[in-house]
Amino acid sequence: MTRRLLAAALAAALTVVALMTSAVAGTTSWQHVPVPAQVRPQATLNEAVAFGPDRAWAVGADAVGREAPGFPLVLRWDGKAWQRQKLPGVNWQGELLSVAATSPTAVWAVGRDSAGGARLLRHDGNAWRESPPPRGVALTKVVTGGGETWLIGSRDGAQVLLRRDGRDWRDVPVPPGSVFGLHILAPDDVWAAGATHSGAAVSHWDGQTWQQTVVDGFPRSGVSSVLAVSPTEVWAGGTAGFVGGPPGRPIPPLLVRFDGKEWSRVTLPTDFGFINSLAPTSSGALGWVSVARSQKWGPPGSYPPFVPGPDFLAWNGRSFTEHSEPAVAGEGDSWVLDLTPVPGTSTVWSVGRAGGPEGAFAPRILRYG
Amino acid sequence: MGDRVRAHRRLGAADAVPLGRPGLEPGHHLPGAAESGWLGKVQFVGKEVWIFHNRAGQGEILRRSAGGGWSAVPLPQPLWIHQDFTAVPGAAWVIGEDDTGLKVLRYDGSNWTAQPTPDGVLFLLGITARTAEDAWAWADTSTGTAVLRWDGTAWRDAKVPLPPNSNVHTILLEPSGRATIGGSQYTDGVPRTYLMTWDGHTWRTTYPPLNDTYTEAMVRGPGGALWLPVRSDRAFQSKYARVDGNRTTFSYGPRRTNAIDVKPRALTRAGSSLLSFGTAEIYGSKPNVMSERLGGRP
Repeated sequence: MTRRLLAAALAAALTVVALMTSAVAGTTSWQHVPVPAQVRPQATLNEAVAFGPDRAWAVGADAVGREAPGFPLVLRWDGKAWQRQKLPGVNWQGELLSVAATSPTAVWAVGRDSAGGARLLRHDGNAWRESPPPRGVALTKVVTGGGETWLIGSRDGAQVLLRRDGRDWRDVPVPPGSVFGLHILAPDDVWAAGATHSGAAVSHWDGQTWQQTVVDGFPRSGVSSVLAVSPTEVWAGGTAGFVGGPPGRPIPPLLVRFDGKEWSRVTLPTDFGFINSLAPTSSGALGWVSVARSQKWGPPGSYPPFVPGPDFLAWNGRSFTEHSEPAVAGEGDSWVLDLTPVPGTSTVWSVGRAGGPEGAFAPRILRYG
Repeated sequence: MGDRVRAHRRLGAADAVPLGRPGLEPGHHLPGAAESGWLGKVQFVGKEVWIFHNRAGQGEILRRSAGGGWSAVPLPQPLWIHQDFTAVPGAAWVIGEDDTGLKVLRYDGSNWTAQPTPDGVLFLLGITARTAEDAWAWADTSTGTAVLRWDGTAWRDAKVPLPPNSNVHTILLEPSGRATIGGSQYTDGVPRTYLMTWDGHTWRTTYPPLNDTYTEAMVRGPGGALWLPVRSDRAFQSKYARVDGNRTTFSYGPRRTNAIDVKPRALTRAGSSLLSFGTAEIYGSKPNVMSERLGGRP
């Protein structure tokens, strides 16, 4: 009888250990989260914004054809599943490119219609509505931070930045070259990631002028994400550029770090790919780096000479831990991995697109934690 | 022309229709169905169906009798890659090239003859006929695109006042004598689709809002308007233009679940219906053949 009790206790203990193990495993790897069934195949997601464990938005395009443009797509996370959000009155075709918010009642999404026109949507906490975009500007991104809302775009091919000022959008001076990403800390403390003819460039706005630094001089290098942790810790990520070579030759990623005095290149545990996104932890430190199309050199003599590299890199303040995206049946690897941290938690979303069957593509949502 | 229905217009070699496919009923096999090749234009000739067939590199005309039996009329000589074909009661033509240059071959039901073309004609691009004595062809010449016409005795430049810097996609002939030309006019390298209509006396050129639509599949629909497929702005539906005089309207084909590309390639009128044939690519599968219908029986 005693032995039976012991066996039962052992079995129960093993079950608890197994459950704990699976629970831990569930929180320490990236998980695939399906898009709602109503989303047609060959959709894409471009960016997300999260307010907490039960509220997030993701934007992109639905029903994209081989040649035909898609339809603007907005998904809403309710804490359990992603739901497709209806967009009454939005009757254009095209794509939503970016979403950002200063609060749950001030969410902005920018897009481009099939004629190339800029589109701007605003969610006031109740519904999405079209908002007049600034005239003559093609928009690519909306960025919020420090209570500010800025737009990145171009006017007649020239780079522009616009800042929400009351009910208007007002031009802000731009640094030389192109701007792909911003980190806004305050109206007079903004970091910009971009590229110039001289290479990848990061610029800082102090409310009066832009101070620009070429952070990597390799031809066609560029940075698209920037994360300012403190005045002595700023990160920027992108691509290390290329100067030719055979078609399909992969390009190394570029991650650079500013220590308050100078920028230096950070060694990464992958050889090729593109730094898609930098995500902060809830304390504002660098938490995650996503690497789209990550590849490493394979063993000497192997063909093809590449093996898959880590899709996500977790930074603990000293080193990176490599993480891979989960395999999704019938789909390939991700091409776009845009990171969005969930405030107040250690959860991170990744939204984007992955390879689909027969050269098509599919929307991809992943979650860590 | 009244007895001529374009079930399939010319398909290029890249669009080869595989022959010898399972599913053909026994006793109804096309000659050469088990061999490599492609089928081109299909024409009704009286109660027969004539189809241009490239069989293992050799051209021939497949004839299907009213009774359902098949026979083949081989071309008198091999022709090179680009070939077009037309047939009406009493005559059929095949155009192409051989080692010596362009060739126009006419079949009168028993014999083939090679027909000379006017000086300056470099390439023949397409041919169509209304009767055995009235055939039209479009060509590249030393002075640009030209329309040629066979009047029963010789091929001559029809002196059609085509727009400058233009090409011809197709010519649509009707029993009434009306002719419609569809083509592209290039301005600074940008194509713009034009239509020209011949009422028996004068040519009238219009530029319907078709952008750079390729008009090769254009047909006269049941209601008398011109119909042609246009590039669809929806992944899951085909799109058609209806050109009725100065008025052009657009409509979509049926919605196709999970389609990412629907491409009509050939149109034909059948009674009060407009039939469309092409390809549809459903997400996860390679493009496959499709057909859809406008009007007629539900």
